[in-house]
Amino acid sequence: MRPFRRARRGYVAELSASERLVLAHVVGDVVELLQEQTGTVPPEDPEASRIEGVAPLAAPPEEVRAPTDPAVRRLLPDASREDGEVSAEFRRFTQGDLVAEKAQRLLLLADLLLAGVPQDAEALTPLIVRPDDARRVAGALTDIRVVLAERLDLRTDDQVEDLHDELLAREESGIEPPEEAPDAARRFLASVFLLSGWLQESLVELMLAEVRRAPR
Amino acid sequence: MTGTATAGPRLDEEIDTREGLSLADTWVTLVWNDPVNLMSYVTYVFESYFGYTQQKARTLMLQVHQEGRAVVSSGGREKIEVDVQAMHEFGLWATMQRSGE
Repeated sequence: MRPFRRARRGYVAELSASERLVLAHVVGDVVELLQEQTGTVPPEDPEASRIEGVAPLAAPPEEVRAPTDPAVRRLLPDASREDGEVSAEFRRFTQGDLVAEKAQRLLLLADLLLAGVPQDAEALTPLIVRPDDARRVAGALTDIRVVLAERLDLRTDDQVEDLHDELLAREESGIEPPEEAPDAARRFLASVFLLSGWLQESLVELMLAEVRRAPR
Repeated sequence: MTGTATAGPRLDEEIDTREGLSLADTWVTLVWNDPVNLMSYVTYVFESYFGYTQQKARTLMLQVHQEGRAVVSSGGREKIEVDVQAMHEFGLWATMQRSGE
């Protein structure tokens, strides 16, 4: 992976095929989890559930289910810590829009990742983010990292630091534990967490520079 | 949202009530620290969404990071709901509460 830099056509990072595929895989999992947890799985056949000439109900549903999975709960947190009614009302009016936007931008990121998968697994090819899409891509990277951190049980800043050190030390030692090691799943999630963090960090630095250049 | 008066109270009473309500109905947006969000991203959100200066955004970001939370905006309930929704869209952990609670 080479971090994002500003180019004429937008923000450009470089990723290998294997990096694209693991990231896209996790992106897909997060979309699925989000839709499953909020009951917003799109119907198999959209035509079948539509009644001719009847507009969809504009009013928000009476009850919106709060997600039970802690990772999704973190993506869609309670709006109030002490007032359940405030949280419920907020959820009723916002959850549908938030889920739709989060799912759409995750799918945008998946499209970008899968658009340029080269034959050679190790070759780096450009991942181009248009300036207009940068905010949504950064948001999608955030959501992925939130879910991965929950799965990795990362609760404090120190734990995240330790994870960084652990993976860097392993990379420098050049010794890769075998695939079937008991912590293989955790190492996979950790590597995706760090990869998405490096991508996000380089992208956000550029976006921040752009915000500061723009007239207020 | 506040209720509307039903009967016709005397004018001075009505004003009193409204003042009471407007004070009680000031809300704040709180952003909480989490181990995931990058300092640069939190700063970006505060500068780009709220339009805060570089210095103010940085101060608030550091407050979130070091003290665990910061009040990042205040206003009527509807405005704060919009801000909290925006924070959730950005992926920040935000809550709302009545000012002074």
